[in-house]
Amino acid sequence: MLSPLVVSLLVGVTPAPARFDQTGRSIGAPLSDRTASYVLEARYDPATRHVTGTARLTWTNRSAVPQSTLWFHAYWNAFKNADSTFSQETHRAGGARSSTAAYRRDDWGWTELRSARLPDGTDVRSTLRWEQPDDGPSADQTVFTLTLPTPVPPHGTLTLDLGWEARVPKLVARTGVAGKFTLFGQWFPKLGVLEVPPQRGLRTPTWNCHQFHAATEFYADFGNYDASLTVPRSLLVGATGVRTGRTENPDGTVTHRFHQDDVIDFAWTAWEGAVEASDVFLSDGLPQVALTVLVPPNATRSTPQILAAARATLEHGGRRWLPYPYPHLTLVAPPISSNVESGGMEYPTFVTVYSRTDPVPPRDVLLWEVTVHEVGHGWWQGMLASNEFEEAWLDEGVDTWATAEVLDGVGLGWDFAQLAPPGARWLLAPLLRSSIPDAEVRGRSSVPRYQSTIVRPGWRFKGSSDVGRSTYGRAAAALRMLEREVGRETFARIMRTYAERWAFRHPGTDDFLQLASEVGGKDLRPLGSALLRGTAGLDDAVAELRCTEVPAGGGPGLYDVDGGTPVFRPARLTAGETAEARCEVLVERHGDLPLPLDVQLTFQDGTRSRHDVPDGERWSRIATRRPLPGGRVALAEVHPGSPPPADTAPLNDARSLAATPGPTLGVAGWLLYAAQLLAVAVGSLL
Amino acid sequence: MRRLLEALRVGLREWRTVAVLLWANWLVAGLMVAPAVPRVVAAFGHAPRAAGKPLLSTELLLGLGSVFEGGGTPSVAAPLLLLVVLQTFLAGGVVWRACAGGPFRLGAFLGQAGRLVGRNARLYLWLLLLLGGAALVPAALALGMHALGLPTVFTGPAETWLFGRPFTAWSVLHLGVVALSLALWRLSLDVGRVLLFRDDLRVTRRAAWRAVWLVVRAPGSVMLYAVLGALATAAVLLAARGRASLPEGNAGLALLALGVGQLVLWIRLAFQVAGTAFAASLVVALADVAAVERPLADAPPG
Repeated sequence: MLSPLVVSLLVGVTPAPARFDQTGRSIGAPLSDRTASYVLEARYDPATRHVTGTARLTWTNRSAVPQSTLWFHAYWNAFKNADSTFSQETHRAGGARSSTAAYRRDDWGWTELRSARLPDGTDVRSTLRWEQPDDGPSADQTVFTLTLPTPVPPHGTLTLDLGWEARVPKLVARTGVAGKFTLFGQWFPKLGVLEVPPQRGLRTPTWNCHQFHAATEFYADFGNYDASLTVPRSLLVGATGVRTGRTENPDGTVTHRFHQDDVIDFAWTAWEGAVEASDVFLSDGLPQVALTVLVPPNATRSTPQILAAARATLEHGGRRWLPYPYPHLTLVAPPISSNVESGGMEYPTFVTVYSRTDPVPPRDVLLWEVTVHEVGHGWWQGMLASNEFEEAWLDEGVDTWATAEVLDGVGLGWDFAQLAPPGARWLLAPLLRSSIPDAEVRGRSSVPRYQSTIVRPGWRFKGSSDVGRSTYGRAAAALRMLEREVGRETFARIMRTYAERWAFRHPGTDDFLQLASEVGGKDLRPLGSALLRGTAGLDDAVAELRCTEVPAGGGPGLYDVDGGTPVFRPARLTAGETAEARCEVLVERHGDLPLPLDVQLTFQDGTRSRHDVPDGERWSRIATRRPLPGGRVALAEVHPGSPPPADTAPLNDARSLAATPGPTLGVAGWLLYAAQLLAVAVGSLL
Repeated sequence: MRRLLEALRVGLREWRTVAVLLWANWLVAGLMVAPAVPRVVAAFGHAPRAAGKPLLSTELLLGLGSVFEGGGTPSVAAPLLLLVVLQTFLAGGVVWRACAGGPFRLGAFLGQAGRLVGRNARLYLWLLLLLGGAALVPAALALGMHALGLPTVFTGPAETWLFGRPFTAWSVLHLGVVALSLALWRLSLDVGRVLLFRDDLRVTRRAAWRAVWLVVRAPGSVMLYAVLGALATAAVLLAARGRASLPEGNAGLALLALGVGQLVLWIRLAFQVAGTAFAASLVVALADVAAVERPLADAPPG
């Protein structure tokens, strides 16, 4: 295979200078503060599903306060028993992904710290104490603390050698074993984050180390990761970072070594039977990125599309947000039967995507959407490492917005016909054919009221659908609401500045809103807070539009004529009299989002009038009186020209005087037809 | 095969019977949809932003959630209950048309339907027992295949439908067994109804078991009946596909789609009548065989 440099010369592309060398080590100044770095060594025996490992942790106390207690995650204990926080929450709330509810005896997994030695040889393992900072069940063992004999001084550095063992669980929540496929996510004892003032409004340094919840993802400091992974020779290994070594061992195992500076995590897969493919992302003015794809053998036809989607994201993100600095990106499409459980997850420079045995050419929206989304996380979590436990929208919501941007950019919408299984596509395609922008697919709500605020800890949402809808689509719609306030170009500048300024740091919601207001030239915090920290939704509607035709001189009744005796005037037009149209428009506000409500009326003669509904009013009736012909209100619209993306029922934003029988007959006819088919199907059994 | 073709001819010929069945279908479907109509009219009747949009769009079908927020969703349970009653009632008339031939008279059709409705209902209840038995075979087979690692559409991972190939040689083979089991049951039901009409049987339990016995003795007919069912499914799917391929966007096209949709329904109901006609011809054929065999068996040795 040609080297990336040769390829770039051949295709005449001039990439930007690399930020990392070919071993994943940074060139020049570090990109991050490298608070927590790990040298990991692990040996995996797939026969027993046993992992033994060591981790040399180098941690810097960023605070001005000595720290004698270190907080760690032991994520795999979430899968240790039915009393863990994860198990209890998944049993209670359910969700698309499975839980430990159906686990059998051998399915459970665990992780156990065996030693924790300081450089002087002192083992502080005996100080281990299980913690439940989120008031979870006392049986939960996903967070522990170690107490040091001597505190780490302010801005001092600690080195700690951890030894641990683990049993890999049956595949659940994007980690574990499924047949010959093993995904290692959140797999080693990992330090929590010591947040220091003024980070996210804190006044004192505080450890942020939450239990493993069913509906949360993760939060970690940046650092350098060097991992040596020993597995049987038959296993193909893909991992975070750049492969820096491969050593055959006498016992039939192979040690794979990977390294990457300035990342927040390290994940890997060991997979017997996977098919590997490589490519290089090359684009003028952007750093080149080597791409590796692992797919199941029955889905190799997906590989070109996965690579194309990754390249499209690197191109779009590199130009619109921030050049992707890492030299290597690994994309893993798990076995088909494990797609839901393990596909669609992001780790630094390592993501899991989907594959299909028969992808729809040339662009399968299912493959593209998930690949774009997961690669997009490389920015919104991989580089802007927000606290996903507490503010998941900063990753998922922003990335959902970004996914729609990329897909719109390449002109790809959702065609549900592509979701039909092979063998039935030719039959089902006409029934499902569609082209719906990605932004309209996710997170639509049918009511202008929400159960939860968007910004809240992930375990405090009402259920899995609530957390998903809030932190993904609703949050993305909130961003588009802000975009509506400042315009598309300004908002693009906001997002670019946000990425540039907060890359390799830990932004919070207030940081984002502050920056958006600053760059947008407008205080976006009130609207942003209402959208993100409130439950108010938006549904402004034109509820009624009526017009009547009356004589210009007035309706029926008695009228003074020239100050004399009242004269009766009939309802119908008299000879020589002109008529006028009296129209009434009723505008209603069904939601509580305090957005200015303006109304535009378009008359039959083409003229227009604008009306503002006073703040705080939930409805307004607008009356017009204009001469005919042309005096009737042909169209009444709220928010004319710029429909709010958060509106839960955009259809009722406009109402015409003329009937629109097409949609009515279309929907009613379809409902009738569907009911007829249901009746005839049931009738087949009678 | 001759019986199959003749059954199809009956299905085509009995358009008045099909019209009655379609009327019943309209009644049930109309009751289902009726609660939704006011909401649909209110939402889409003066909605310029919905005009010209394809049905599968966020403005129309994907936006129905907000339209039905607060009520007005289509009703399903009660109309389907009515369907059970109607279908059981009309079965007698359909059997009359399949067996007797002659000119169609609505009064006679309804008269036969009324005459047989009680017995048809009891027969159906008896044959529900068989349905359970018939379902056990493909269920057990699916479990066995799953244990052997062979895929079926019922036991494979759910992801297969979206990401993989649910229709493999093994899963299609299993679907064939499902179809045969269903055909066995459904043919038994049709034969039972024919026996009730033709022999004027009063004891429905006996009619049910006799029907099952006749059908079990004619495995070739079960296969042909399954072929008839497969033809019906294919014809309906193709017609439905054609309907779905129609352009959308205005009232005329919506009405056209509704009309073509009736053709889809018509095809299905015509096959339903053909199925009953096939059962009637099977009963006649088996009765003829019995008539031939009986004198031979009763003949003195010699």
